[in-house]
Amino acid sequence: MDKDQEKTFIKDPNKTYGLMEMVDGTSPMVEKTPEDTVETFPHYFILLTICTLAVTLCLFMISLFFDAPLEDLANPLVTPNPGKAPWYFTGIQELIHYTDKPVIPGIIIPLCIIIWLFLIPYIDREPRTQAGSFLNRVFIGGEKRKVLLVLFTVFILGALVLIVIGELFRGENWNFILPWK
Amino acid sequence: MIKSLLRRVSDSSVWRSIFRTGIPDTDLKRSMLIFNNFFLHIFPAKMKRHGLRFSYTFCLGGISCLLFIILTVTGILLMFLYTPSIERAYFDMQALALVLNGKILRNLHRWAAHGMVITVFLHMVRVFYTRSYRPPREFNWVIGILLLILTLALSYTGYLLPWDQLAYWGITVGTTIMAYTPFIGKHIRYFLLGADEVGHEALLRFYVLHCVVLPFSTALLMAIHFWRVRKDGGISGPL
Repeated sequence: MDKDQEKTFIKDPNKTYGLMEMVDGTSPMVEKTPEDTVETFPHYFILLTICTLAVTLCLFMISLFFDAPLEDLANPLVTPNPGKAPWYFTGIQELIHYTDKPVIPGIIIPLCIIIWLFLIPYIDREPRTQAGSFLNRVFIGGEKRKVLLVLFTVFILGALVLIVIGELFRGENWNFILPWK
Repeated sequence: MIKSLLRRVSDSSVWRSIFRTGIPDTDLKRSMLIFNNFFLHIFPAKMKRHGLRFSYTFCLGGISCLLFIILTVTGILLMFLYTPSIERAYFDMQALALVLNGKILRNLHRWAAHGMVITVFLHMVRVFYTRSYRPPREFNWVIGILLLILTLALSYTGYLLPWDQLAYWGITVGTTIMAYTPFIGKHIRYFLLGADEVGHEALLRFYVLHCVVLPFSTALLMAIHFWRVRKDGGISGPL
């Protein structure tokens, strides 16, 4: 029996036997704690169908009313002002605008973020060694992972703010504009 | 009347030769229905109740997968109507508006692509806040990050294909940023574009990456991603 089950089936030290559990159900479950499970069919398939239909319908409605942009034929001689990357990269473009060393926001910061993302599950775990416990305290902030929560939230909000500014609030020569004017 | 007819059809030998399981009126048959079906066998026969809660997953992984399927279907249809050459690409885009529903086809592909970037990112955010990356799911998180990078790469390579000003300068700006990489930046840019500037070579490279290399890599990683979800005991439990 694993840990979970020992918690459910508390052993009485005075007895060599014990009542496990009486469960209402349709499947024979022996030596297992009662699970809180339901049949995939139909419970999950209802959710799956509703979700699929809703997303497909939404996408069709958007596609009916909003056309994908198609500007003039590509022309290497006519540079648009400002030239913008796809929206998910305008945050990086916005960061590059603040510095004269584009390698830092353009390459080093995104690379560091990717490596950090890869490492999250390997640092946020039960520390076994002293070094692990130290790393955990510095980068995760203990069992409640306060440091990690703050860092991750800053990363998401930062990315969001930079993308919105870069995509909507930047006009000619990357000057600040208001999109509704 | 209808019920007995349904039962007769589902008990007939032809129906049984295709679907094997009759009307799923017992728990056993409901389970058999799932693992006897090629398309459904990736699902478990039983699921944890909390995993079905919409407010736990927001269906973000599922929506990402659905968008990938929609993108594959519309993408293949678009491939019938598109030539990856700088003489033809833009005019194929214009001609697309003349084909029956061609415009809607392109709209679907475009908006689904933007949607997938958003849902994959939000899926990562959801997994982070529910702390679902903890052992034994560490490596599946890593695969998930790789899938996010692949999604961005798919979207970015597709961005060039219409060959309009937006595409041309979007890719020019992006690859200029890549060229800032110390030491090897220029080589990376040249490797990606096949030339010093965005031109025919770049269009062909991006087309092959977008239609063959990246979708296949993504599909493979998705298969491993889903398989690992099952092997690690299904959807993660509450905190």
